[in-house]
Amino acid sequence: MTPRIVIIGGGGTGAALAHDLALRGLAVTLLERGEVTSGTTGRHHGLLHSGGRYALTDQRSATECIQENRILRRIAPGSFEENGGLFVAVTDEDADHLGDFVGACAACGIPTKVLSREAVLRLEPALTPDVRVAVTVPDATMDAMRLPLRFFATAVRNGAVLRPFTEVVGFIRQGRWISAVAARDHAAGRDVVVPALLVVNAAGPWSGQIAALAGARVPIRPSPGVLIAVRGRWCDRVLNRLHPPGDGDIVLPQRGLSIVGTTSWTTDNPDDTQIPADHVEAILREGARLVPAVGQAPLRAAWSAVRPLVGSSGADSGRTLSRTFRCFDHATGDGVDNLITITGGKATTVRAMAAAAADLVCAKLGVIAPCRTAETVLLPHTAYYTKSAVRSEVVA
Amino acid sequence: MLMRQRQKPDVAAKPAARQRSAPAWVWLAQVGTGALLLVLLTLHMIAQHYVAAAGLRTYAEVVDWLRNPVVFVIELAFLVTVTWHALLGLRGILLDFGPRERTERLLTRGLMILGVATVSYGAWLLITIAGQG
Amino acid sequence: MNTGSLTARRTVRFRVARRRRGERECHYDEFDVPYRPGMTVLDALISIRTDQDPGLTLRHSCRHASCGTCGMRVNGRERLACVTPVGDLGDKVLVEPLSGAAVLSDLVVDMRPFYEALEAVGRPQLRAVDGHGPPDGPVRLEDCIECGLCTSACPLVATDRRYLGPAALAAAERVVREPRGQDPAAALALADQEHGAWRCHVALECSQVCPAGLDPAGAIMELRRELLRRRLGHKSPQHEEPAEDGRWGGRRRGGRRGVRGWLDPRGRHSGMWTFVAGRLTGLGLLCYLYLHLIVLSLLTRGPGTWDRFIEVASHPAFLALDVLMIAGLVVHGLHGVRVALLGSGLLTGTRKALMITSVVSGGLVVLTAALFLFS
Repeated sequence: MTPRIVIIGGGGTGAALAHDLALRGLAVTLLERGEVTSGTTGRHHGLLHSGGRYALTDQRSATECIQENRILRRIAPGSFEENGGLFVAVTDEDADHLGDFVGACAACGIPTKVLSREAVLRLEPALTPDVRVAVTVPDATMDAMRLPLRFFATAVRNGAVLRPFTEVVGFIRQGRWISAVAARDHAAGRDVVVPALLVVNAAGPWSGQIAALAGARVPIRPSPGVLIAVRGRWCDRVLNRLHPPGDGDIVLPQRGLSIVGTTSWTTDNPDDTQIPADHVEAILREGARLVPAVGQAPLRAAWSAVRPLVGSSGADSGRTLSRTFRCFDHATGDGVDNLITITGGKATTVRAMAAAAADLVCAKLGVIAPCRTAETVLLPHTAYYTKSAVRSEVVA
Repeated sequence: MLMRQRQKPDVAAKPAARQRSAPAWVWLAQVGTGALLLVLLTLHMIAQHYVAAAGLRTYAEVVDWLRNPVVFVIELAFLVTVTWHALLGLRGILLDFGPRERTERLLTRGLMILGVATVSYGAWLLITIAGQG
Repeated sequence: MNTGSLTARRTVRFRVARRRRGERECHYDEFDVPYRPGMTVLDALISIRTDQDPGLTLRHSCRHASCGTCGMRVNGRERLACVTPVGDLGDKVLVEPLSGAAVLSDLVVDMRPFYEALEAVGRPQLRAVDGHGPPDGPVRLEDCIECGLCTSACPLVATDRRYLGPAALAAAERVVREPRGQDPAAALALADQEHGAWRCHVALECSQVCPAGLDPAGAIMELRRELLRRRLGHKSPQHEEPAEDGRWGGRRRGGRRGVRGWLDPRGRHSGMWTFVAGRLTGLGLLCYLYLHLIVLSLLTRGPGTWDRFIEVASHPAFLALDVLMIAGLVVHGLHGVRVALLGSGLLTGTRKALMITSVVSGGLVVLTAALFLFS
């Protein structure tokens, strides 16, 4: 079998990357230890960021977000509740941020409009009566699972091979070169060897562990956050607190549920999905300051998701780490010539992450092929099930 | 890579197919005969069993009863309705098992023949009995 | 969710259906899982995968009943594992894949036929927040999370491989109600088939198990009402054929429970029982019809034969059979009235009242008949 580019990790990043590389005409195989989108990707709140959340503190992330926000709406029509978002000041202190916030958004290219208390309560009657003033931004709700499925479906149509339930256990090396990826096919209950031309580590919070299998290092800080879902759709727009990012300051609608998030801390074990006992209460309390009904609504679920933040080790909450992404070439420093790690970033920016990683892949392979993902409309998510040849590849 | 071949059910790909049996009519027929049976069966039960002193009529009583043209027509209608309803219902149960289209057509035809045979035999019985007076 | 301390006081025994890709039969493995307060079935399965058997395959994603991937049968009942607390289930938990679809491995089923039917219907992913709002008003993602619990619970999917299924039919009803650029006539035509909306026999299990709180059965009744209205009026939708081989689902063998799906009592409701009762009494009465014709043919043999029969027929044992027959008639008749009403889209708001009225009045009729026969 001819060696292919092997992507490790079937989350949003891997999905967008498989799509990007397949669109450039490259042969790609993607390995995922569980079902696709079963890690961080499926578990995030489903917020298509406008960038407003980072405009004051992390301008690079904010700019990435607004650019990708516009592109995703274009290439994945129908996957977003395009009702916009609001940054809401509920205290005088919040309202003091207004000028800075609007200015910062303008600097990042995020369009805003200031709404009076009365105007915003007409739009979202469930908002707290404490609201002072609000700012509109082009946030949206997305389907956290089905958007990546559209990337996967399109990638498969263009020749990519997906292998879910296939867990990478090691790399077969020839000096500085990875010649194949050793994996366990859990669905069939056997070990497989996947010949590799080049390996892209897109394992999100697990990318440190994957890199370690090759003796390489990635400065990844797994940063879990708790989210909760309550019954009832209490708003149609994404509601953010107008203050520096903090706990429980986002409320957004998702079908018949309202999602409130998040908290943030750091861990060394990305498989740890414990929920600290006090977090649910804290999120509900903070969420109720934006939308009082959230505090009373029946709880549907509480869960945690682990962000793959890039940063050096050291104790912090993860809030101060940038939400931007990084692409590492392990040829320099780690002595592995054909291993790349793409990590960090956000669900909103997966396409840009993929484009950067694919550019590096092309440069390393000496392939000249431009990125076309910003103009290519994705197949519907149903195509992932009806048209893909997932799980059908026979590997020696 | 093994591609799995299967025709996708696609509405847009096949415009204006032929008008086959209308399932809505089948449904209406089942409801209609069912409603009719509620009436006819009640009449049948009361007339044949509850009115009779011993619950069942003697031979002479049965023959005599069927010679009444109104009763004869009611019993005939009952026969046709109950056969229709029963065999349509049987078809429904058999269709639950999702036969292939060819089997389904054979089934429908077979049940139609069975229905005609049943009604013919029943009618012959009625006429013979009524004629034995 | 898994809040709380790590001090495990009790363990829960999980019996999990296992099957590797390509195996014909499944077997069951047992795992003892330390219980933590707030633990869900999904938490437990993932802890099995992490600590005991990394080879356990299952689908999951969002963990809050929004993606629909972790549908499975827990103690026989269709559930989303991520929002099913282990604490409600006792010390033994049986976990099996959804039925009505081929098993790919362990708890992973082939959703392809399910999505093919959905794709054929072509329901948009977005809907207006409120149906009567302006067309450019707020939108929301479709409520159906495409989890397949309804098709797994449906007794007709259990046997009829060509049945479109509750999810796709409910999707068709959405297209009719709010087309958003799709063709409602095409969706209606798809539903107006023998193995479309007309196959539904009002067992209502789909609506019982829907984790999004939707009412696919009600949607099917709405579709049928609309189809009847058009059939009895002037508009006649065109008919469409299903896939080339005439089957919507079940490309592979296995996965479907067949008649066992009708008779599996776990977690089922009154609608399901009347479905089974209607079917069984129907078959019984069909036999009785022919038996009755045979008995009547005795009349052609003259008075002697008939009088001897009457003697037999007056025996208490025979009378008991008569009561049984009358009970069958009453059950079938009342079930028929209920199905005829609901299945035509009438009184759909009073399902429960209809059921109670049927049971009470049916009981009274049978009692009266029995007293009459034996008096």
